[in-house]
Amino acid sequence: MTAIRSAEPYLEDIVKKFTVAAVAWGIVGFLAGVFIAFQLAFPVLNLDLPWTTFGRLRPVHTSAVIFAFGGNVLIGTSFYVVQRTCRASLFGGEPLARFVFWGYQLFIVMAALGYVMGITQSKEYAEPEWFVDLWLTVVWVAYLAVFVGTILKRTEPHIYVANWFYLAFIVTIALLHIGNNLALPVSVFGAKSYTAYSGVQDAMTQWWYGHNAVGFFLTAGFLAIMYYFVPKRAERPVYSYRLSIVHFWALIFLYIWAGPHHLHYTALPDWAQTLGMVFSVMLWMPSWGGMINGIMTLSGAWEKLRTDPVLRFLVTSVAFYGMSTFEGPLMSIKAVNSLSHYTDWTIGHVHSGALGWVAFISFGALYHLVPVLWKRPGLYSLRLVGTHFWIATIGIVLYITAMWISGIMQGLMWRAYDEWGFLQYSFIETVEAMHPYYVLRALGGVLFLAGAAIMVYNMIRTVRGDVRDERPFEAAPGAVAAE
Amino acid sequence: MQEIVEFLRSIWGLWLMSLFLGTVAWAYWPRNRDRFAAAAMIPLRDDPPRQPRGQGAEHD
Amino acid sequence: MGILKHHGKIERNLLALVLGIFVTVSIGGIVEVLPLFTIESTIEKVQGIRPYSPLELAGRNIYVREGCYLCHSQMIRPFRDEAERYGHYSLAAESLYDRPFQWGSKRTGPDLARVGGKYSNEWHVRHLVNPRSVVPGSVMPGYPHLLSTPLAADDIADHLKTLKTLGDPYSDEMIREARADLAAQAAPEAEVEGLLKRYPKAAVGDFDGQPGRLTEMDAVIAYLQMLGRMVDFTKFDPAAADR
Repeated sequence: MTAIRSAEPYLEDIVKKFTVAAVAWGIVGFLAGVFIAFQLAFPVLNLDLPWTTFGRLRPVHTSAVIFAFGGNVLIGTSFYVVQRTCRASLFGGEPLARFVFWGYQLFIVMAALGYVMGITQSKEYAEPEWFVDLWLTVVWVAYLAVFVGTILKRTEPHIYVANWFYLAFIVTIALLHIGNNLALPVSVFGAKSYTAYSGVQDAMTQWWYGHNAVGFFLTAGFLAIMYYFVPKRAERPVYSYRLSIVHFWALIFLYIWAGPHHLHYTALPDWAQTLGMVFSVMLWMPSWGGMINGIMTLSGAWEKLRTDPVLRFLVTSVAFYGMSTFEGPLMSIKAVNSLSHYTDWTIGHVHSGALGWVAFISFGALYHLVPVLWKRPGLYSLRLVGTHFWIATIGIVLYITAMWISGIMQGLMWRAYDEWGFLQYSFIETVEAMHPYYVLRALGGVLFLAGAAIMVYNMIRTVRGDVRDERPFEAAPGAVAAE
Repeated sequence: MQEIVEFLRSIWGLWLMSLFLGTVAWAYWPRNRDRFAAAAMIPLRDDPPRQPRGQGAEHD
Repeated sequence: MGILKHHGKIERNLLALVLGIFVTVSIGGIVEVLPLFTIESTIEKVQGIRPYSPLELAGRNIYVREGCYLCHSQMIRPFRDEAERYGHYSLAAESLYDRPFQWGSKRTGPDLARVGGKYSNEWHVRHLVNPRSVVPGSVMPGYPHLLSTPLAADDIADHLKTLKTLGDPYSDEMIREARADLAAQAAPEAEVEGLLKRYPKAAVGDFDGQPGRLTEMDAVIAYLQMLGRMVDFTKFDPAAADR
């Protein structure tokens, strides 16, 4: 089944590479997450070795899931979407695209090896040292060139809105990456550097970066996926294209201000904290505008949710997006933040977004892409997609519930006073109280990982061209006639 | 630099409102309706006419 | 409105779209981040803040290397319970020479902003080697290798020079004496008068309990023992500091 082609054929081999890389890194990242979750429940798993401690493996987990899994999904889908919506093949052709692919994988490997060996800036989500940062800058410029060049040679007059989101993601990440990582190496032959900013300025710059890594990497980029793959899979245009325009500009304008909510009640000046809180609360509106736009795309076709578990992944991800973008503004209110900050509630919030939104929409897009890219009639098994969906969903629910309870409990225990006016709990008592929830959280992670393993199996069989002999998902009577 | 920062600090609220209202006006301007309706169809137009339908994953 | 007229262009004209994105996302940073570098009241004026001594700096770099910030904050918020648990709320001035800042975002373990002087050196050694030997319910990893790894700090003067280039007030004398100061701080019999003049209130002694050996443990504990001790809060006046 060939698509309508522009003069040159679309480059799909490169998208295959990104797809394989995304799935492989996803497994690595989930596995690392499960391992460090068990380390917090059973510290003996730190193994008393320098390179296996929680402090060194935690960035391996976060970078593997955000930059390796998420990044490969984003770059891969952007190459796929930009060609098809611009009806043009990739600018720079196979060589430039391949440079972006291998360059990006090299970035990931250098960063991860660095963490394990203790080469880190210790700035959250910006851990790679200066030479890795420089390399990523080179790769990113090449990526921008491919993407922008493809849009420039488009044969479709309009730039589809998904490409706006991809573009905002690429441009803003470049700005954030350079702005936050300015540093002076001690020696050009050594890994160690010192950040150009110090103390309170470094904190603000870091969370300007950190929050917008969420806003533009984990949100804008994946919203681009939503705006292409949800309509595609539902076989109907997005609910309101006009709303998507308002969504886009409002989202990118508001997001960039929200960073200081990571620094409530710290030594950051109050005016900056207040600005951060106000914008975070306002951010709730465009976020839900986008959620409504994504979910309502299915209006009149809800039936498909029952028969297409791939679409179920996509739509459920948007629902999780709605949930975590409601929770986020709530937690940015200073009174709530005074309880939630420094606790597991934050970790739970991040994972409702990361697992429910980012990973689910990625799974949906990847399940859609694999049969298309490898030119197979369909997935090996839709039933297994359904199984993956339920196992992963139960895993997420277990995870975030455990973190809600432990987070709120720990926050309350820290501030609890006994009848004589003394602090009721020592710190270590609050740590010990977390143990059962840490075990539960790790089990939630195991379920999520198991679901991903099912996905890998399903995809391998699909690529091999197998079709599982199974009972198909039945459309309701009458639904077929309506098509 | 200091002056630019001072200036922007004083007008950011106005900037926010004008950006928002401008975007809304443009998006919902009656004359743009058909153009955006056509744009929304872009992802659905990149494939050949439908083959006979089977399971959901086949549609490309 | 000018913006409105050009909207049709933004949508078709890629350059305008890129610029639109760039300007839209820049304004937040310009209004919110840049002023922190220029407004005087961002950092309080307090007595006692000094750059790290060479040994403290080496220890801090190990703290950074091990990712301690992932479980330990160094930022006490102005709440009653935090004041009782950890001490006076943190001032911006106290992280003036922190590159990078280590405020943290999660307290799997307690805040360390004022851990200096709370525990003995011996306690720190035992705790870092095997946390559960002194705190039974702890989930912290053990760092026994700190005790056996010699401190690699031949290039410590280069570190000070780098920080000086970035604006930290290391004098030429400090850079010249960096290696000697580093060794002297961990050697109890050494002459420390010059060191203490350059770096007032620096904790001196044989931190790791292995006289004659300079290990990573020495550096980490020297760093931990000075955390939160630079400002004398008996003489701190918040109203005057904010001027």
